[in-house]
Amino acid sequence: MVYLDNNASTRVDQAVIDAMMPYFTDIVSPPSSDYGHSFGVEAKTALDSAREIIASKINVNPSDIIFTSGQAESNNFAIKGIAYANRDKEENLLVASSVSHSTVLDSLKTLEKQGFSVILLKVDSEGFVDRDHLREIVSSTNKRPLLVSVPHGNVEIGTLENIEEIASICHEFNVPIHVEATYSFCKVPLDASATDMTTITSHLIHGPKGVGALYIRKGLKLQRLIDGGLQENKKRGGTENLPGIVGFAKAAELYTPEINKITQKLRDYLWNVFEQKIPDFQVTGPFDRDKRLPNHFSVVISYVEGESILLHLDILDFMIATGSACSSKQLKASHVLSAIGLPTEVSHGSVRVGVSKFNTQEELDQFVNHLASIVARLREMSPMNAEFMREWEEMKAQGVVPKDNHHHEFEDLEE
Amino acid sequence: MAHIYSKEVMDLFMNPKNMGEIENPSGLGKVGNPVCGDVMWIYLQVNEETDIIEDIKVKTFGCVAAIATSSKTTEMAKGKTVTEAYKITKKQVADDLGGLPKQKMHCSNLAVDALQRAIINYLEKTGRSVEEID
Repeated sequence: MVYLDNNASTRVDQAVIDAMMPYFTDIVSPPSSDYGHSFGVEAKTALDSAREIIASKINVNPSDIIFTSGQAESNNFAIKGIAYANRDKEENLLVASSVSHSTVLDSLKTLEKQGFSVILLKVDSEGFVDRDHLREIVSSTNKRPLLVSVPHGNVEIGTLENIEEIASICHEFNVPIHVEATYSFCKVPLDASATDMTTITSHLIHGPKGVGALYIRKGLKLQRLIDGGLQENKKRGGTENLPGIVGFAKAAELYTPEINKITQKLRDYLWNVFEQKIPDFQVTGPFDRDKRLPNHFSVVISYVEGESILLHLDILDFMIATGSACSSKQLKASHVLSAIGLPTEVSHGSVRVGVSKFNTQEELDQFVNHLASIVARLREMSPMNAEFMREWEEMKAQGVVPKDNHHHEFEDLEE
Repeated sequence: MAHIYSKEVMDLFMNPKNMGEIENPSGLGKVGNPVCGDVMWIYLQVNEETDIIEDIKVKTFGCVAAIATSSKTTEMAKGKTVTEAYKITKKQVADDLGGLPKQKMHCSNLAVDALQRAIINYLEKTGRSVEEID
């Protein structure tokens, strides 16, 4: 099996598993106060040490790190927490990039139903937030946002946002900023102390699933979502997932800049081979490699459909990801590909690859060779080609395209 | 392999049948649109004396289900008279494939639509209308 979907999740490092084991089998107590029994104290020491490691990775104080069950909880807490803490205020506007992760966008949808206002920021064709639009919204005197949420690294198209710049625009008008750094954590340096909240996660850096953290700037008021205990500075009830947290910290420690050099080299190698061997594709997200997540490569391949590519590769034991509508439960094109202005008929051919330190150049060579023959085969059986698309564009211009009549009934399947 | 699709669907996806086109076909049916993500063109070679579909080819753009259903539909139609082939239902195609995931049912609809359109095109070319066989 060749796993090339490392921006979806990663294999846990053996050293991480080894670090976690004692907290399953020996030190089984929940972390307690310094006056508890010895297991409780040992657990507390491990928790404190993990918090220090994680905090130092994003340049913040350990006391401002809250451990959570991962990306979804951190994002829900950041967004709903600040909304509910300001429920009674007249200002009730929440703002996010339109290429934010679904855990951010779905939290906003829930809040919208509860009466909050939501504005999604425009992005350019590479997924970067439109600075003018942001400035216009945060500077508005009659409706100042409670929060702006922006992804640091985009999972679908690799876009690496300049957080310092976005944060300074928000802070110029005293608007707090939440950064979704799940996909960039340990991969790209981030000074979270320049933000008001930052989401990070364990399972994208060879740590365990089900654990993450939220940095919350001291003094920022959030309403907690999980009641029932004094844990995590009274901000999140429930016994801490100590084995997970220890694993998270170990994974962060092991994910050094050296690893990024390895993955970036592999990614660049893949990009070059791709250009040599795959005809008719376009890169999605930034073309400037330094403005992308170091392990991320994403494209749309013309005249073929992503799900067909994905399953052909799977049968050959290669695993990748696609943003094709046909492979989503709702049969809708990815909101990210739509937001950067890619027409649905083009985004069907979406393919994305996330490499890890466990991959090799040989694997990438095999992958591209397989992909080249799959694409050729699918194109041979497809009525679509350059001429077809030219005619299609003409029909679109004249407004005489056939009606898309068989997908709408499925839109609500997942909701 | 752990896939959502049945073995029959995966087999046809891996080894699709009747892919290609026919020059000067007796009937041609084009359905779908690239926004939906499925486009199917079905070509018929019909014996005008017997109305039997002697050859059938399909060009398909789409997902796994689209490729499998267009293969299955052409296999079912081949050798049948246009009257018989016109009666192939979407459900028959899906059933013969061991079922399809709920949200992929429209793919089977599309293949049958393309076949019916190709038959109508053939009938029109031979001076008849679909009412005569339906």
